[in-house]
Amino acid sequence: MVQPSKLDGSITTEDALGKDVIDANGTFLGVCDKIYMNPKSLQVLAISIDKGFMKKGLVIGLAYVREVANHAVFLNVEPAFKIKGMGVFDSDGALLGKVKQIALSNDLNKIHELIISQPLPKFKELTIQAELIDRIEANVFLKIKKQEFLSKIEKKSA
Amino acid sequence: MESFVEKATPYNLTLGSNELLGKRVFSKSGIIMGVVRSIRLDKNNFDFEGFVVGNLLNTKTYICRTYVHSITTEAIFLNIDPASLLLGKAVVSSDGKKIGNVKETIRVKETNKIEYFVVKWGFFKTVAINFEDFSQIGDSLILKKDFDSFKNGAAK
Repeated sequence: MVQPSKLDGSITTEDALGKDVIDANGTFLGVCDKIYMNPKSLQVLAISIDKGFMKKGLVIGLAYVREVANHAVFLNVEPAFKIKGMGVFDSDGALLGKVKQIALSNDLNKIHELIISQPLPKFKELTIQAELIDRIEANVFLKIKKQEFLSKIEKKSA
Repeated sequence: MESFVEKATPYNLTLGSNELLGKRVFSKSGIIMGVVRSIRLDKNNFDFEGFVVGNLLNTKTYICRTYVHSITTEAIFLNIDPASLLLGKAVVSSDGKKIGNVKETIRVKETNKIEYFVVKWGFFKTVAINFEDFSQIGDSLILKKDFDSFKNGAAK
């Protein structure tokens, strides 16, 4: 029992469920398939994204949702999982490896460290701390050169 | 090695073409464009003018030196994302509806400044949309308004 005028501008779960989810860079991540709510306050906490067949789903906190539009849900963030598989290059552009795993800080979308797999013939995995990363765009670029980075690793393991 | 230099850059401050050939070329956003296939010099004064980038599909692109940000021992970094990288990208209306894909980018002469996009939508339709009508250009191109305002415009 509520006055219809009070519902002006509001949306329902139907307006979000089944819609495409687009991140801050315009990437289509998948489809919104669930909405998480606090059972007592009924506050929306997060949305779940179905990324497709055989792909692991993703839960995005409400703080990262920019807008539920007519045809899609827009996020204000690029999820960290997109980094997986990216090439990792030093400051000169030399290839170090590919991102195999991402460790995030708590449950935030903030990177703590990356685990990379080196190109053949080496199979050793390397860990890169977040502070060594200069930028992450189409690929990951470090602030330092490959030799300097490998020396740091050797010193740590010694 | 003996050298003869007069009113020019000394040898140790120059780069050999062999050092550039085969180098990886990164766009501004870190996309690997390909590798340097050839170096181009001005016919009259022999100044370095640019280079040709080739990729695995054997597509070649000429990039002039204005668009070079830096050259390292391993790669060349550009200060642009060439417009050709936008071909095929999805075009989305402001309310999230996928409209179509970028079929063509129309630039100001041969610069990287885009005037408008030719967007393929529906089955056989195309429409020209100005660069300024987009709010965001990334993995997809998002319009500032919904598509109805552009639908009736014919491709130029």
